[in-house]
Amino acid sequence: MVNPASLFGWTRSLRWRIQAWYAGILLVALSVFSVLLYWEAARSLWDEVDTDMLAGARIVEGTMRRLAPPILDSLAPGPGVRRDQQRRDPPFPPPMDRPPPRSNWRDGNNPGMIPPTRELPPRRVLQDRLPPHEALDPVSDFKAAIDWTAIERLLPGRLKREPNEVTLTVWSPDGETLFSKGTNERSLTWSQVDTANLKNVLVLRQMRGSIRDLLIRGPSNTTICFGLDVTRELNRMARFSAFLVAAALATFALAWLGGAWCLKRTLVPMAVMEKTASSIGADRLNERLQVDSMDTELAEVATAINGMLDRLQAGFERQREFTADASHELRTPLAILLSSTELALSKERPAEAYRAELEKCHRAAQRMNGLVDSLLTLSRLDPEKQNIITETVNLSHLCTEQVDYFRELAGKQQITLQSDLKPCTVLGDRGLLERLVSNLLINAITYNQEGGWVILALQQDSEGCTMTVTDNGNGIPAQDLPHIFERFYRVDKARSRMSGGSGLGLAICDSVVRLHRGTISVDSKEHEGTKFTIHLPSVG
Amino acid sequence: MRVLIVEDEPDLLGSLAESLREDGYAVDTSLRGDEGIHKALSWDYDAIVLDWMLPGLSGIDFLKRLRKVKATPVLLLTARDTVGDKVFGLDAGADDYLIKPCSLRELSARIRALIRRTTGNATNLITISSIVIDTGSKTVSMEGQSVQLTAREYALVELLALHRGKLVSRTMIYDHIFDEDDDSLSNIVDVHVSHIRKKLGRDFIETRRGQGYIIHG
Repeated sequence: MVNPASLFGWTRSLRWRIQAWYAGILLVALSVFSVLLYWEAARSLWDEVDTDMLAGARIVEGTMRRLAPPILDSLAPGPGVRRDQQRRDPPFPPPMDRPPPRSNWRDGNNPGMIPPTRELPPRRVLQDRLPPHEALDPVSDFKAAIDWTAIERLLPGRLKREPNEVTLTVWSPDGETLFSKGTNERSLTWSQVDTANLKNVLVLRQMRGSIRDLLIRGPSNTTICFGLDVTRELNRMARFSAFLVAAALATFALAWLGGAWCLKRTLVPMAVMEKTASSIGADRLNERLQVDSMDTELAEVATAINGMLDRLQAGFERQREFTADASHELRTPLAILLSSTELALSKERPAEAYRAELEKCHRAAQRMNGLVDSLLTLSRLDPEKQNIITETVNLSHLCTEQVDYFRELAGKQQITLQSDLKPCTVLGDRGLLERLVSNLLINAITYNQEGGWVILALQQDSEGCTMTVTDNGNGIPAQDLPHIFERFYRVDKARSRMSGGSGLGLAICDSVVRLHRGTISVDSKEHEGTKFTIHLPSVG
Repeated sequence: MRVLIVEDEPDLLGSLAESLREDGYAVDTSLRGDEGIHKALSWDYDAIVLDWMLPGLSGIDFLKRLRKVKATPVLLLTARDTVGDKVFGLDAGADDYLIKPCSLRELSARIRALIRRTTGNATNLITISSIVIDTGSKTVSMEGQSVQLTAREYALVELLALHRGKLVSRTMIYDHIFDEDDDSLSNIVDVHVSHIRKKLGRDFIETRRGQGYIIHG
């Protein structure tokens, strides 16, 4: 059974996704380009054809106008041209060398306007000038008047066409065929002409299958219709579109391959990064990604990864040191336990000897117990676990209890323990705060001399509680001050060993204060004394 | 044989010292590095058991100062257990390295080995004519028969045997057989020698009057 996720796993690949997007966009762009190109090419082709056809039509029109002006008038007048208006301004004959202006047609549709002076002669005048019998059949007269054979000869050459490709039809305003050349069953018939539309426009173009028609108004409302067999053009366009599709596909394929190559090249440093990153483990944390040779974007990622590794390494290093220190601290009492028991068991001894060894073992076990206890406290003092701060603690009560508790110890060492406690309440963990105060007091009493004093003071201010533990004891050398809150750091190893300190007391104090979002600071001068200042935010 | 132990844990120091004393060593102790180096430079110890982390003077600095003057064999006894620590400690001048917690028997064996090597012996067995001294089990036998010696007598025999063929002065005997707390009378060595002669034969130890004693190997 194939896992469907693995089948479509490639969609999760950045490379494939980029390539798919890129291909899609490329396809759309190529399509739009091809369509626009085809459209423009078709437009220019048909423009060319139409220009030729229009030129041809103009020739026909001009010829008609030149050759048969009198007869023209015998045909039906333009639609809407009123007789009285025609009559008003009859310069005769009209200039024959000029084609009729296009405004004619529009004027015909605007009865209110005066026809221009170039208008064809009024019908009445023409009629007067013609013999009566000739005027009886204007169509035949018209036909007879025009040298159609000349037009026939002229046109295909002008249109650069084979004669059989061109059809020419001239209709009278009534739709009677005045002339037709090369017409066949495919040619346009009068019934198919959109006469209504033709009234409004100068030139009408239309496609019917492979025939392109061009209709213009001839003289006296005749309609000149050109039909052109454009199979050649259509074939050209078909070839062109096929070429476009092929070219687009080829371009697409080329761009796809090029894109894939570029993408692969771009992702090579990613692969290198991946390889390096996966080779970095907890035991090889000192390795880093080579940023120098990378591109800016990747270098940023690599720098970020390197920064993360730096922090990780520092963390691991701290953890390693901590573990080494902890194991060292645990090993020492363990060594006492083992050597004492081994010595005691090596031979029969008097009861006092056993007792002495047992006492050693007891001390060692107590030390281990204290150390394990401190280690557990520290591990529980995770700054993430803020939820342990739940209760309201009366700090002044707590301090009073601690001072009472330690007064005896202080008295034994000839040390005066004083307190100056103002009412003060904080939100926190009672057990941890007790530990904070007791650790500070033990330190102040232990690292003191006979006749010394320790003062525990508590003050409430607007921001919270400020607690100070001041003594006039040994003090801390300046070079040790920055390290005293570090785990297992000892100012004087011998003294603290003798007094049973684990080297974790101040580290615990620091953690407790930070957990309560407070601050702890120390001010000390060697041989003069030490002052710890703790600020804890109050409940509010 | 006289051994110095420098260790800042009083309880551990007590056990180590007691154990080595029971093994017949004369043991001096020190809780501080600076005090220890003073002793080490003042006396010719047969071996020194040294902790690394010491108040006053660290074990490494102890070694550096000692090595400028003396080649006393030093066993570094420490909780520092990494390979790097061992290499560093041995390169600083330690002759052996033992990690806490350790077995007292192992410590004893390593000290024996250290002393054996520095006196140029390859085995624990020293044979002088018909007398065989086993420094491992700390026993002496003559013609196959085990001879019972007190700890002091054995220590004296061992010292002379390890330096056989060489004159061993009375001062040297005092330095190596008795520890700093021993306030024995000055003629105690003569008493021990006469006891040994009774057990191992008159000619075993030769007296050089006014100079010391010698065993001819």
